[in-house]
Amino acid sequence: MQSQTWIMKKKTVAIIIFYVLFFIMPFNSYAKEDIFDDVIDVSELDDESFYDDIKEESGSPNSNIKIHEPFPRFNKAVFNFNDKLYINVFKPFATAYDFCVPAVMRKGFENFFDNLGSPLRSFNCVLQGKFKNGFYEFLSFSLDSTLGFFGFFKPSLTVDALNPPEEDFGQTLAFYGYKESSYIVLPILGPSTFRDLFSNATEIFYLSDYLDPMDVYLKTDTTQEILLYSFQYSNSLSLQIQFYEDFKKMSVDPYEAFKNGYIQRRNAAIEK
Amino acid sequence: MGMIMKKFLLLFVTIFLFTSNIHAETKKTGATDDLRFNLDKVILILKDPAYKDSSKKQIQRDKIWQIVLQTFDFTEISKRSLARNWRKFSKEEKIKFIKLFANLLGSVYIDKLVDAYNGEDITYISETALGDNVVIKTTILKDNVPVPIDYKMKKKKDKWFVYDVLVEGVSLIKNYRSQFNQILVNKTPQYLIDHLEKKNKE
Repeated sequence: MQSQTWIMKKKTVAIIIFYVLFFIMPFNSYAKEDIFDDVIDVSELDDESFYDDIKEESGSPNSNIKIHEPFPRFNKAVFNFNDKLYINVFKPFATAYDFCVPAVMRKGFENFFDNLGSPLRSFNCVLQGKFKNGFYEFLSFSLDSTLGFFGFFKPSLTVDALNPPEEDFGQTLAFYGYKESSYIVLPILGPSTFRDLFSNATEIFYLSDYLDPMDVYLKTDTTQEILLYSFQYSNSLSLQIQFYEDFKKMSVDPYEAFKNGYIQRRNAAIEK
Repeated sequence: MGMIMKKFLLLFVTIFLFTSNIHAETKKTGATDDLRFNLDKVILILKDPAYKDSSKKQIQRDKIWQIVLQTFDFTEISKRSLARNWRKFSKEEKIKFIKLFANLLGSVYIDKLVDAYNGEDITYISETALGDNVVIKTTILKDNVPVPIDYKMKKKKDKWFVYDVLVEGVSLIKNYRSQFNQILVNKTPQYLIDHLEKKNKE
């Protein structure tokens, strides 16, 4: 008799617990998607006024940036090759490099190379008629080279005016009318256009002979230059890999995302 | 003569009214205030030492989610990212898409904030009208270098919501628009939804 009432009690308790859990559960561990229910207003779904906004912004209802791509299959193959290279070779290398070289030194090297590129940026400002910015760029070069101990530190960062938008030869070419260029993915180096590839080569192999202080004073030959650029590249590699992985993580079609992102970024730099 | 003078006077008055009206409008949109209010709340949660412990990170994320949902208009973001493809989606597919896309964007954004935020402050530079909408230019210091981040905002029931973010001139919705378009050229909306679902589970 006693055991029977005990079982009955157990049953009631179980039922009560079941009901309590049933009502509490959804509040305790909601599925992520449920939090969006309150913010989605179903009546807005048929409102298509956004079409006009998009049209106004870019002149066409779809407004995808037109990107000319003569070798899509080659580009995709190189993109996939680079992806494997970045993750399997560069990432472990960058992690090891970061482990061996303290962050302060890495930043110092980055500043040093950045400062070496300053006269070239100043020159490109002048070529585009941005004389004031060219002068500020030159001022920050003088300041960082002296007070900043050969550019390892960047005292110029404390003054806004001394940090004008960076100008390169690709932007100069765009300024003189070479605005659109075909998209190409380069082995190791990644997204580029024919214009930017040409401009990088011109800067590295020609213009820097006159405007890169290292080239001017040390008379470096091509092998030494490639070594220096490799060092410069690997010094900030871990940051770039981090960005690469983040951007890949948030994209649904990584190849398309990087292509569109590169062109958008270059167009924005040209506009400035 | 008197007629011409009157016309001139009328012209000046209209110009005056018109310009002063524009002036008043740009001054009291309240968009920058709304953005600053919400981003300040996020920064406060990020800086709060109560969430330092790794076991508290999930609570911190959920708190930020609440504010993110009051800052970003994910319906508008979805519409503009799909552009002309929006019409290909049924009502159910639209709702499903908004939820999954919001979850992807929000999770990546919040994870990045929680992992990498290091006390950086936001500088609000300007607010410019863009038709009925506004663009707010800001910068955030990353290693002492200012990174430009622009927010495009749209008014909805007396409150301003973000519908696009531009980092160094790269528009988020334009970037997704080209990706979604690439997929929807030869795939169905349902395929894209399944793809997003998989992406969210990664």
